[in-house]
Amino acid sequence: MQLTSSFKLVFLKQMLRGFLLSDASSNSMSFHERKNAIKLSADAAIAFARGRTRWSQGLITNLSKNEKNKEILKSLLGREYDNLRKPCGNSLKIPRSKKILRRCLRMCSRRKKAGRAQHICKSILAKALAKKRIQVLKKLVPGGESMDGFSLLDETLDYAMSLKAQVDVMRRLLKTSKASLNIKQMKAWGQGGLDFTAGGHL
Amino acid sequence: MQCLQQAPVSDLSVLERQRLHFDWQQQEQPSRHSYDADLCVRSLNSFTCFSNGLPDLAQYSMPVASNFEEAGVAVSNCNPKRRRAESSPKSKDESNCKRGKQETGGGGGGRSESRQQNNRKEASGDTSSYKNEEHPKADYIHVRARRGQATDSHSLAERVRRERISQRMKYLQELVPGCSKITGKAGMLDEIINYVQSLQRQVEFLSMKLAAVNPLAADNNYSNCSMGISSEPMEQPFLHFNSLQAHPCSGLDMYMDSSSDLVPDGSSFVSCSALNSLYGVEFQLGRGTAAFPFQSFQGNLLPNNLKMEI
Repeated sequence: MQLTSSFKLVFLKQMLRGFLLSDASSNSMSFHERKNAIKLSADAAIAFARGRTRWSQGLITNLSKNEKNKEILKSLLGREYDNLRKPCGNSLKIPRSKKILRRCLRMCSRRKKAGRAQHICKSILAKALAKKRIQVLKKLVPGGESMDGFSLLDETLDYAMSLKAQVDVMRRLLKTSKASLNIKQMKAWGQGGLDFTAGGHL
Repeated sequence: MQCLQQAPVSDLSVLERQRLHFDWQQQEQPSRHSYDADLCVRSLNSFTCFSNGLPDLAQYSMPVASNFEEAGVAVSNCNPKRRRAESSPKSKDESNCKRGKQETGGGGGGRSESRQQNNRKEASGDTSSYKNEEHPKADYIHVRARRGQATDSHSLAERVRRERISQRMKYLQELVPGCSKITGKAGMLDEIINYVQSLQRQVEFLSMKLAAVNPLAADNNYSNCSMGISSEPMEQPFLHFNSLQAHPCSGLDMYMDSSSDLVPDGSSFVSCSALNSLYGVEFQLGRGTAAFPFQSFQGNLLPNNLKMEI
């Protein structure tokens, strides 16, 4: 529904701007630094392209935790930076109280398990399994800690679609970069036939 | 009351009897239960038995099971009346009732049972309901009445919640590839987690690869691309997209999209050799791999490009 070409174009544009701003194309950075810069640009770009959603805000917040990235993000996102950097004040409180609740529930369920029949135990087990998975999902989706069940599923859906678009665009960018590199190399080696083919149609 | 008395006489199927019953119900109770009726009828048709009600997000309950519960709830209000109406049933019916009650009691205690056990019990509940076909519909409902849900508002909210969850699960099933077979909630969550994790890993991997390719590839590319994109008004590239997409291209392949990605850049920097080579690369890529769709697209692409260049 939202995986339109315009969305991908916005993402691509932002990502390339990010590459420039973070100076990813220069040879001055190490491999890891460059990779991190690229990833930062990509994440910021996808959050920007998507607009204001819980996960995009969570993503920008997570990225801003690193001071170095903050500057890049600010210049990249411009006005949107403040919009996207939602103050998730309650995000800290909720996990804390949930931890206590979880501990209590675990204790209670252990006691109950011993007491009741087997079939009740299985249901608690199923509950626990599903809860575990939801916890894992909460960690995966940025900003997912402070979400409840429904919105978590919604955000997961949204996030998965945006990730898909991100992967798609990055893959194509990589392909064209590689191909252009190959072309250059071949030109350097003086293969005139390819040039003719490419030039003849332009 | 009248339709109930008619029901045992006529040769209605269980479904129709239930429908009649729910129609009668509607007169007494707010219309929200009519939703129950439709779903319940449909659920009886579909025969899918899933667990109902683990109270949390931890449950994945299809509307089916919830409707069995709701049927019980809807009926429970009218219990005393029905009991009076059924003062005439035989002892056999009563014993069936009791058996049915136990089963639904067991099936309804689904709050505390595992999915598989619940499936079995629901299935047996179904079979018992079909065995009792000759018996009055009222009996059947009476059996299911012994559900013991808290209040109507609670069950309503629960049902609404479950509907929302199941709807979202459906969307996610469509999104995540290969998930149409998996029907359990935990399994679906597993798949979703795997999918999101794999996508995240792919992003990492691609950024790594881009980092490897980046300094070697034309640095001009990115700077020119981005400069072009930032200086050019955004309408132009979008116009390009529109014109491209309007063409009846065979198959929205990645080739088309990748070309469309780069064409705006190519159009704004005709003189840029790097980008020309990039465009040429795209053409080459298409040539090398998928012959027909790309070539047909190429035919459409060129006139647009020419227009832009002019």
